[in-house]
Amino acid sequence: MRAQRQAKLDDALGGQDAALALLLGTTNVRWATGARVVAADQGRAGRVRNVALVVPGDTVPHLFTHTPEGVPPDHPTDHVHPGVDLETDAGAGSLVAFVGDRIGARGGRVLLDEWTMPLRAAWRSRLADVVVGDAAVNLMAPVKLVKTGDELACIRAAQHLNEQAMLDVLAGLRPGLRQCDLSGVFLQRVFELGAHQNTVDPIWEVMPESVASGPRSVTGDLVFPTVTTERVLSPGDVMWVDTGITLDGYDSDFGRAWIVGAEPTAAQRDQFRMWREVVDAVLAITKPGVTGGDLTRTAAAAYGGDRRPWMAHLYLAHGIGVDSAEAPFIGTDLGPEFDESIVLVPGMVFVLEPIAWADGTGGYRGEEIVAVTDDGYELLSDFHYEPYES
Amino acid sequence: MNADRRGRALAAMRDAGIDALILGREANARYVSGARRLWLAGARAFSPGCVLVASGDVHLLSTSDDGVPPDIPIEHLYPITWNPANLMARLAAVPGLAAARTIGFDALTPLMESLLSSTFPGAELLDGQAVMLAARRHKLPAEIDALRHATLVAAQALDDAIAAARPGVRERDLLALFERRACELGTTVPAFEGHFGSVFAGDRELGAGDRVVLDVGVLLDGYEGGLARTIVCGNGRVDGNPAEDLFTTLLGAVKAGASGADLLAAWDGAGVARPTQPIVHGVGLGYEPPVIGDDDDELAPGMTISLRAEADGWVRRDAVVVTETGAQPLLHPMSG
Repeated sequence: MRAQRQAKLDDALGGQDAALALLLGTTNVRWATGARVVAADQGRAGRVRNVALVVPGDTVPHLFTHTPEGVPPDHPTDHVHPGVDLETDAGAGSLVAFVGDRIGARGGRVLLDEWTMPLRAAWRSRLADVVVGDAAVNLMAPVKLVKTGDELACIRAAQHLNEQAMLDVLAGLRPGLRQCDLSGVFLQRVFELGAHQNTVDPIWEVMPESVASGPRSVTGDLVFPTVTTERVLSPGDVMWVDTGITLDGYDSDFGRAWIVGAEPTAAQRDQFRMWREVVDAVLAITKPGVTGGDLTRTAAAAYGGDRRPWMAHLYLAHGIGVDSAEAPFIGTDLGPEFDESIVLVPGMVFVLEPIAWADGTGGYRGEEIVAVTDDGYELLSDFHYEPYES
Repeated sequence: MNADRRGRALAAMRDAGIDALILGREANARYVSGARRLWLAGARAFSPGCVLVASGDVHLLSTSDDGVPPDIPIEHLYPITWNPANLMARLAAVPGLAAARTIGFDALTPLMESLLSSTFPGAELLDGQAVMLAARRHKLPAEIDALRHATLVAAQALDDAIAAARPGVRERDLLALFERRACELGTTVPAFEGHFGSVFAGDRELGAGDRVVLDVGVLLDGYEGGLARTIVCGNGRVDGNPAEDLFTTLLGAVKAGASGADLLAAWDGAGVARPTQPIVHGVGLGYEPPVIGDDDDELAPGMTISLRAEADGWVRRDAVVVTETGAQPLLHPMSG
């Protein structure tokens, strides 16, 4: 898997006329090296981050790590280096010196995914004449877009683990529990089942009676997600749940609507049915050559009514891989032309997450993970729709 | 606390000659806004998530007022966007930002640097992270209370994990139990996923007599509570282990004016080999400077630091507040 990745990186760097790529982002480095780090809050993760320097023609990137336990055993030792703290001048200076040596006589620009401020200062003092391009846009988004069979298997395994844990959360769901109690059950189960990390604070949003009675929104649309608190769940609450973990470097993304301690009403079942129709319509056209624009138009037509079946600030679908939301993003405020530019190819994966909404019902939101195949699609998610459908 | 924190950030801006801050780091956004936003694991690329202008106004990336303190009006919120043109237009409309001659950033990306330079052609883009770290360095009393609360939650959840550390239990079961208990105690967000015998808690079953290092951290209202203990499986905590003695030595060296070199000298004086991990790091809205081992920073009253003693495979870690004459533990009473 890693040899394929290095080849993809080499090709992409060549196409960008770039000499090197320097990667700081947790998921970018994970993709490029396969190395694991301890899941941590953003600030800590930044101080003890892995850093990858991709040199075309090498078998693997140079890896700077504070976590030797997470380095793949076959990563050549001459490409493993002690961790650098890029929030300090000393750490940034030593990395810039190393990069400068590797640029040497090659010349050419460098692609980078993030500047820490000390890194930016060190670069300006040592490598001011080296042009730096954006690695997220020009390198990582393209190389991550189409998944290999191994990657699809990893996403499926992560999703399966996530789903197993959610079965247990749902089994224990009852009025009187707090949102944070559901997180507790979920986190306990995912770690017992062997998840490598939890990736997003689990979401158990109790939907409002109406858009107008919910939290105030900048867009005027529904608000999602809201952050989990100690809110106590009441009978009949409709919750939109959303959880995600990482296993072997790949992410899951679970989304369903659940009802606390009650069966759905007829109107609530209608919401699920409308959501299901949107999903079925999109899946029916999903195959190579179809565009993101085709998907959004199909979803909107299937839903009908006076709104699109996704929220104004989000999207109909997003990709998934080492990031829980990565390219392709379909139905965003980048607009219809951008959606039209996205052409499905085999190996592309997207999380389809339409919503249905009518005031007074709590609506329905669910997520399905869809992998594009040679002649259609396969689902990487597999979870029931109780209590809306049994 | 929000107004006091923001006041410190504004003062640090003035000291650095910075007219406005555009922040991407969640801890910085939390410090100036008080807003609680969705937690995600890991280091992710800079994106403009929060703006503080010299007038004291905060503008925040948030689609709704959920989790946003009432002193930030909804007109100051801007929604998540995938379209850089929309984002830049929104930032350009922030009163006080277009006129700023110096804007501080806590990080950047090459793309954002290019877009922001075009959007604010009259502004110099400077280091705002140093500004924020200066503001955050000395804790307000309310911050110390928040740190104490977070530390107590971590300690209580760790006690339950220790009680469960019997022969036959897997490392990952202890992590699972710790996470469950932390949630029940009111926080669903870790500072980091804990060390339970291994850096990556795994399938290994604990055996009777195994020495097991447990190192944990949670975030509560954004503030970090963490500690490490070493147990012997089947016996629980062991008094008088070498990390305890070393911890006492290290604690004795902490006081206002002590430098990193002083703390390292105290460590060396105990005749214990230096560890690979820093012996001290700051705690506040997560992991902060000073990181002793990397920085050589002088301690001052009101700083909150985590001391980590490691001797012969035994580890003890606890956080303290630096005082004029010494240090006060964040956890009362200091549990063994």
